[in-house]
This record gives sequence, structure tokens and C-alpha cells, in this order.
Amino acid sequence: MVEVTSEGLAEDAIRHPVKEMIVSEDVMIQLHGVHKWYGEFHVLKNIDLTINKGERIVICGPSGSGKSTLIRCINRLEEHQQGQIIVEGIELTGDLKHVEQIRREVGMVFQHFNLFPHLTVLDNLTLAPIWVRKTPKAEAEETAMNLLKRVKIPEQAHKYPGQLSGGQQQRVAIARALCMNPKIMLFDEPTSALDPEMIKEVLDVMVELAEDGMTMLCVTHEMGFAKTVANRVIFMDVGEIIEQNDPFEFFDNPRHDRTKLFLSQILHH
Amino acid sequence: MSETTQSYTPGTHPDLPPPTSTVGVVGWVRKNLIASPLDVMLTLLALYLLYLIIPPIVDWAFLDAYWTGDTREACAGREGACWVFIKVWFRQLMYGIYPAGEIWRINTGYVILVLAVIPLFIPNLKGKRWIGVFLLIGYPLIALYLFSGFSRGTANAWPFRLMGFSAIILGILALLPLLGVLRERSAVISMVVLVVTPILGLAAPSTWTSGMLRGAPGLAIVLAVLLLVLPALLLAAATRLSQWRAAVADNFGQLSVATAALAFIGGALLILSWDEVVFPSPPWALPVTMAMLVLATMSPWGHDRQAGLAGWLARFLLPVYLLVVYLILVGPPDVLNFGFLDWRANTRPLFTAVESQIPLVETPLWGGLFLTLVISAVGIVMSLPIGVVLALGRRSDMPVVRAICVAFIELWRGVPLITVLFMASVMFPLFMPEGLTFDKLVRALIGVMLFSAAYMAEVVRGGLQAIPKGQYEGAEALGLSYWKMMGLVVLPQALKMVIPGIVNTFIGLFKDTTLVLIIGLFDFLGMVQLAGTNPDWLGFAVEGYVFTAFGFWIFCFSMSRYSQRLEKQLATGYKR
Repeated sequence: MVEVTSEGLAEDAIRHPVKEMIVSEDVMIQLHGVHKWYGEFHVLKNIDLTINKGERIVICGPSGSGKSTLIRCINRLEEHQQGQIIVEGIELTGDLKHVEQIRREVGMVFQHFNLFPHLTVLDNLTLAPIWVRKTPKAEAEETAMNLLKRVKIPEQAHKYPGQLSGGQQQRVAIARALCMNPKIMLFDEPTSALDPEMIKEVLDVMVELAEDGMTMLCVTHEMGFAKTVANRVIFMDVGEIIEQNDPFEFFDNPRHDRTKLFLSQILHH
Repeated sequence: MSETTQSYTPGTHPDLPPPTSTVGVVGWVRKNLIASPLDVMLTLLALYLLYLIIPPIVDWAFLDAYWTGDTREACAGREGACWVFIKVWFRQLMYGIYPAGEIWRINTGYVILVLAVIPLFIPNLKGKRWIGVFLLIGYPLIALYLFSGFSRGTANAWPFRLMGFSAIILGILALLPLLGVLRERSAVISMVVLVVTPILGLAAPSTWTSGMLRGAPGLAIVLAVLLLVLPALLLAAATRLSQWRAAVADNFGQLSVATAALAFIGGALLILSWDEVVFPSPPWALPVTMAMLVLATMSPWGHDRQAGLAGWLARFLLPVYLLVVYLILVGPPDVLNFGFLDWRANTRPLFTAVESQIPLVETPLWGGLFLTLVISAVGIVMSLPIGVVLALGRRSDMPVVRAICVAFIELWRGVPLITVLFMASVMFPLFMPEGLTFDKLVRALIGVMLFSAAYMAEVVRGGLQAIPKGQYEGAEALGLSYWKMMGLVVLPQALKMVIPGIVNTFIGLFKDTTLVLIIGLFDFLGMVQLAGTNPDWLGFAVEGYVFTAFGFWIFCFSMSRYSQRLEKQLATGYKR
């Protein structure tokens, strides 16, 4: 297995118009030698990764490769047993204060949306700003309505999540994560539970987000999205990072046999 | 039938009404009662059974019954029900042996409750939160003093009780943010200490009455030492030495507030159980209490802008409260007791006036439906929050917390309520130190409350298990702390889901209160039995039990209907 670090890749990732955004040298996330076990099962093996501000990373791989586990370790939804994870200079340990600080800066969007069904869309969005950042209610509602306009569903503000379609719910989930003004957005297979017609509307929102300069870490099977937006594509298998490269190199010249096998299977249709 | 044979071009078929024989009453009867020969036979059988049962009951209960009169003789024959029996005993069945002249106090209490509850049924009314606060805090205090009254001779009793209750509430409010600290594993041991110290606070006076540390200030000092020094030492044992100083410094603010809060919860429990509070005041008591005041005021957590209302309480109210309670317990130093400042002399006329209007009615005199309502109301209102906390504790990652909660639930669920009441009334006083007596009703209330909380904990835990893990994760990813996640996201959904289970437990509790007969308290059923065994009124037990059953049924059915209404109201967001 070849250890590929990111420094050499960031500069030559700028070939696509969207990626002409400046990727700064500020390091947002660092993973050093991260290992994780579920009981006896070794799910993450020696992960080394550095993510700079403004980078858009797509992680792909077969199921069970640890991609979701990896991004869930970044906001401590899963705990790693060995190694270091440093987010914006704060190390992730058992210290709850650090975890809560990090979670305020890192937004997450889930495969199954995880909206709160007992609250309206507007209440879903304003819950965290009001209770975590102590924003006054009027201000929180204004931010929420602006974000709903940005994801193009302002008229749904007073409906309940159960009354919306899947694509609308996922867009609400993205708006909810953005309400906390995070510096990093994590996406855990955001379009995997959606009908094909709705995938486009969610991907459009994500592309816009990328154009605005958000640091994004996205686990997805949407390779079109990777080609449009990503600075770097990471391929994981059985808990290891097998290959990372900018999208054009990754899709045109995969270096490892496992990568080649995976690409041949998913790019058929 | 000819309408269906007409043909229409595709897309133009009108919406026709259904055939008359399949809708309405006729349709229902045809479908459900006479659809097949078997159905016809069952319908006839059911009609016959109704004919056998209902007319005799109606005859006995209404048509042949005796309604008027005052004595046994008015029910001369034995054909119908003797409702005269109920009429004559009605006051006792409703109020027990409460003095007749004081019953207006109970009725006033009922009226206040009804008036406070009615606005809750008006949709879209603002300020329901304040009605809730009143019902949970203000009304119990008002009801307590209305129903029990004030005793002559202890002019200071009711301020103490008021102080006692408010101390407990303020103490709990001040403690709430501290619970955030408890999530850290190293602070688990602090929690054990926090649980144990109020118990020590209760026991302290009898073991230390002859020592140096006397009275409430002494108690406060003991608790302060236990709450500051002991947790600090235990934190040192639990964490690496290099982190210890940081952990103590971080938590110092919260721990110092916990000191003040728990010192007064402990003191308050003393106050509530002792009618006469006579504490000699050692010379150093005032300076030491002042020092504690300063400590609580300087607590860095209270100054943290993030702390909100509870932080505000810690900063101002708690220290002021410390001072006021000290003054009432111990009295201001004599140098301040002069002229119009002589607080004891000036407040005495007020106390005496109140005493004469609302004299003391001891709890053994409470009975009948009134007692049933008091016991079940306290049990119901207290068992839900305690049950929620136990359920959360049982699902916690922290092994000590989980072990305590499991032990509590399994212990209280595993014994019959009769045993609990028996233990509370007979065994409990044997373990208490000299001079500390709890009212028998209070003991029964505590027993019922904890018993019901254990059942409620399991019902709530069922609801918590049913919430998908994604909800917890979504809330955590937004940065919500444990208690905010539980209070804003998980519990609203979980409790809504288990409303049937919760109301079921409430209804069961309401009926279980009849067991207090075992410890000599005469609730609704107890009074009916007492009336039925009265020598003048033997032989009318049936009427008594029918009336009791009817009374219970009214309350239980109302609770059931209300819960269905609540479920309909709250079923938002699940319908598309």
C-alpha cells in the first residue's frame, strides 16, 4: 500500500472551472495513524489524511470499507481507539468540551436525513442555533429562512418533515446543518436514499455549496459529482486508504488493481 | 341497479352515489348483524342476553331504589338499592373525617385547581407555560397550607416550611447545569457523593447535636467539606495527576454552587420535619455563613454568560436566600433586634391571624375521595419526572449511574405496593434518628411515588428504545449536549409514543392508592368499607361498592379519554 499525502496533489487539482477556487494552506482536519476497532473487527487501519480549507474531498469504495466510519469519527459519532484526529487545531479525545466545540464547527448530512419529525421545518433549522449558539429567536429564524431560500424551498417552512418528499427533506437537512455556520461539512451518502429524480436537486445544492468555498468531505457513489466538484478522490477498501488523487487522474489512470476493479464495476452504467 | 348498465365514453364517467342498501344505518345492520345465518343467530342471542341483564340492573339501581330519607328505616323493603346510605354518608365518603367546618378549604383547593386547569384546554393561548409553573410549584404550596393549616404555638412553622420547599426547588435549579459535568467519567464519583450527602444531611443532627458543629450552619459546613474536598480528592484518584488541577479548576465553580445548593436542600429537609426549630447559634455561625455566601457569589460559573437563568439564580438568589434563611433560622444578632426591626415581634400578629382562620388539621383526619386524589395526584405528578430520569440513567454509558438505576428499579418493582406501604409506615421510623418523625401520609406518599416511578421508568425506557439511532446522531451532530438532546429531540418523541403506557400506569396507580387502608389511612374505598361496617348501616355493602366502582370509573375513564385526545393532538408530523 502506498502512502499518498495531500500536499503534492492540491496544486495540480485545478483543472475544472469550479475548482479554480483557491485552496488555502490552512489545515482543517488531520488524521494521524488512526485505527478503529468494533470489538475484534479492525475497521479502520492506519488512516493518515490531511484536509485543507476549501478542499472538496470525495471518498468512495465498496460497502464495508469504513468510509462512513471514517467521517463519523471526525465529529465523534464514533470513537477511534488509536491515533490522533485534530479538527481545526482541537484534538478529538474523550473531553466533552472539545467534542462539543468541534461539533459546532462541523456540520453533517446523513443518508436517512435524520430530521426531527415532531418539529416543523423552521423549528428543525432554528433548534441548534437557539439552544447551542444562544442566538435570539428572530435572528435564528431569519437565517433559517435565508437558507431555505438558498436550497429553494422557502414555502415549506411551516410543514412537518413527514409532509415533504425525500429530496426536499435532504435539502432541509443540508440547510439545518448550514444554520450553525459550520466551517466543514460532512456528507454521509446524502443521495443514496433518494429517487433518481430527486438526486439532481440535492447535488445541485451541494455543487453550489462547493462553489461558495465550503470545505466538504463527501462519501458518495455519485461519480459525476466527484468529477464536477472534487479536488481529491479517495478510494478506501477494507479500512485502508488505497489511493487518493485528483478526479481526472483517479478515473483515467487508477494505479491500484483494487481501484481498477472498483471503477470497472461502478462505471458500467 | 339500472344506473350501472348505462355506458359512458372513457373519461366521462360521473361520480355516482353508492347503492342505498350498503351505506348508513341500514347498510351497517345488514353488514354486521344479519349478513349470514350465523350472524342472525348470534344477534338474537346477544339481544336475549341483554334482555336478561339490563332490565334487572335498571330496576335495582333506579326504578325500585330508595332515594329520600335520612335513616335506615327509609329503606324498609329490600328490593331496590338503598341510595339513602350513600346520601347520609356522602360527606365522609368525599372528605373523610375532616372537620365539617373546615371543608370549605378543600373545596376552595378544588376550585383553584379547576380554574387553573381550564385555560390549558383553550387552544393557542399564550402563557400556558406560566400556568404550568403555577400548577407545579405554586399550587402544591397553596394546597398544602390550605389543607393542613397552621398549628397554634409554633408561630414560625409556616415560614420554615415555605423556606424548606423553595430551598429544595432553588437547589435543584442551581444543580441542573452541574449535570453537564457529570457526563465526564471522572465526575461520576462526584455524583455518588451528591446522592449520598443529603441522606447524611438528614442523619447529621442526631449524631452531632452534642458536638461542635451544631445547627444548620454547622450542617452547611459539613456538606461543604464533603462536596468540595471529597470530590476533589476522588477526582485526583480517578484522573491522572496532571489533569487533576485542570479538572478541579474547571469544575470548581459548579461544585461550589452545588455546595450551597445541597447544604440548603439538606437543611430544608430538616426544617420540613421539625415543627419547632430551636438552634443555638454558636458565635462563629454568622461569619461562616457570610463566607459561604461570598463563595457562592464568586462562583465563576454563575458569571458565565452562557449559564442563562440558572446561572443568574446562582449568582444572586442563592446567596440572598442563604442570608434570609440564616436570619430566620437563627435570628439576626441581638444587636440588630430593636425597635421596628424586631422581626419576631412584628411578624407575630400576622402569624396569629392566619392561625386562627386556618387551624391545623392533622393528616390522620384526611380521608375519602379527597385522600385518594391527594395520594394519586402526588404519585402521578412526581413519578413521571423521576421515572424519566431513571430510564435515562438505566440507558446511560456510565456504569455507576446505570447500576444505581437498575438496582432502584428492580428493587421497587420487585416488591408489592402493600409491602412498600407497610415498610414505610412501620419499619421506616425504626431506622430514623431520635426526634426525626415523618408524617404517616408523607411516608405513604414517598412510598407510592417511588414505586410508581420504577414502573414509569420501564415504560419510558420502552419509548426511548423505539427512537431510531439516527435521531440521537442528528442531534449530536448539531452540537446539542446530552440533556438538550434528550429534552428537545428524544424525550418529546419518546413520551409521545408511550402515552398509552404512561396513562395506563397512571390509571393503575390511581386504583392502587386504595392499599393505604393497610396503614390506617381511609381513602375512598376505606371510607366506604368503614361506612358499611357501621352497626347502624349493616347490609348495604353492595350499594357502597357499586358507588365506589362508579366513582373510580368516572376518574379512570376521564383520564383515558383525555389521553386519547392528547394523542390525537400530538400526532403531528407523522401524517403526510
